Amino acid sequence: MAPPPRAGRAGPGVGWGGARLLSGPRARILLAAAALLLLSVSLAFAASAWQDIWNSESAAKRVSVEGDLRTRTVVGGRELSATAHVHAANGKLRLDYRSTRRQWTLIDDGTRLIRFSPDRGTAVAQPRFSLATDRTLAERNYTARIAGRADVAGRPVRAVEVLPRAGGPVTWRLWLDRETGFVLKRERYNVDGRLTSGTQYTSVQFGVSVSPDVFVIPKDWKIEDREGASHSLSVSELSKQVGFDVVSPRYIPRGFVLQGGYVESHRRSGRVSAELRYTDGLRILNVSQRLRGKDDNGEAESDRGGRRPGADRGEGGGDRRGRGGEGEHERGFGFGRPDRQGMTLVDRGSEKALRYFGKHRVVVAVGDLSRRELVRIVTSVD
Amino acid sequence: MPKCERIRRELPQYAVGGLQGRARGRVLRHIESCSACRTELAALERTGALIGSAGPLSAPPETWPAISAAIVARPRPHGHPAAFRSWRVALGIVTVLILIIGVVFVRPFHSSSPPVTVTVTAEMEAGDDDTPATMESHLAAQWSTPLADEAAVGLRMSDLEGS
Repeated sequence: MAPPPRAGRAGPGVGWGGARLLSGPRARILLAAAALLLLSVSLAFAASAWQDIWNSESAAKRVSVEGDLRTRTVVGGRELSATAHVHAANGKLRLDYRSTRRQWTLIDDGTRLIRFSPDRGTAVAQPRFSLATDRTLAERNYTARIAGRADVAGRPVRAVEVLPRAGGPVTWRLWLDRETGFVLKRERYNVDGRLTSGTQYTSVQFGVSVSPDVFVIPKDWKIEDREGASHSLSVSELSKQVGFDVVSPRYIPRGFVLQGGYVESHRRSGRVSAELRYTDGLRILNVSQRLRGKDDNGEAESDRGGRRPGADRGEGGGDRRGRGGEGEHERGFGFGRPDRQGMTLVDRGSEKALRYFGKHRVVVAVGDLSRRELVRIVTSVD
Repeated sequence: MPKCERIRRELPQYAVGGLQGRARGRVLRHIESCSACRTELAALERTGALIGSAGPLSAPPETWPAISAAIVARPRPHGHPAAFRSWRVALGIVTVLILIIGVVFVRPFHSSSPPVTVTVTAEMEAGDDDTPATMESHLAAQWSTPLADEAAVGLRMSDLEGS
């Protein structure tokens, strides 16, 4: 009754030991379990990195700090650097800057941002913008990973990297104090992968008693209250405020969501623009617009073609040469209408600003995005 | 009976040794207790043995010449030869591809409209009142974002204020 021996035909899983090993149902279950375990471990590490990051955010409010830091940033082709003495407590922050050129103070008292220059004798105060932080939005657009351990300002830290999920270079590197979670060092990289700013504590003390007076504007300071965007408006509310119909861009990069509308005041001309503010959880994109006036000469902007102030400075100049330099023609790759006029792109390192004279509006977009993305955004408004 | 039906569907494969593992064990256990299925299996095995004993059959010697003659005598289709027709198809595909490439990539370069001009600078120009306002707003917003490097943002604010 025993069945005849199987013919010598090589079926799946026969003839190669490895394949046979991996083809049985038990082996498949084992493989699936291993993959699941690997995925769980990766997710656990990512979750742990995000947990560390959010913990550092709350540590800045929870822990009182006094220390010294060194900070530097790239603006256009110039590198700016300064040292600062720091007081932080109860979510308030005071930075007393000292650079080779001058000294100034910046206070964040939780509701206002106050900048004081002794040489000007005036403190500029503006409402502190409060971003409705959506942590899930940040975690949806970025991934975080623990990158190692080190020492900063004599304290052990854990290094964490934040990268865009859509691909691209590291956006942030953070070094978090292992005891308090406080950020002792951070580096910011722009969309092109260039290091655009870095700050590092050189000495720090936690749990010190910080006097509340540190965050109060001294009575002898002259205060210039500047209007600022403290609360957001809907597009229709914003249209009413600025007196013209605000147009939402038809194109916004993937991952960004509208955070709100704001009225933007121009200091020199007294004009107002309507600003729509977007965020992807960590980065900000501002798109402002106003109607073109009689004194706007957009064509002159594009036809002038001469060198702008600072156009030949530093790395910005090298970058421009590499991309075709001034008056470079963006000959369209399917975006924009054909009757476009000139645009001016200011590449400030951490962010780029693109001003565009449309048919009816002047549109400005500012964000850490590629030039192509900014062009698409502004041309989708007008 | 439904179990017998299920087992009988597997019997032919079992009979030639095609079942393994749990499926083979299931059939084996069933035929030990079911005489009807045993009979069915025996019949299948007899049939298999009969087919196996027959050995390979060869075609009569005149078969292949007859097939060959039929192929040669088949009338050719009217019109161009097959090779030429395949060239025409290829040419058509290439033409369509060139047209697509032309429409997608070449057309913008021959547009009669003026191209978009982007002037790239490192610093804001003196007469520009729009960019500083949005930039200032951008930096103020940056201050409050998660992971913000307040010290560096403050440095940028100070630079903007002085520019």
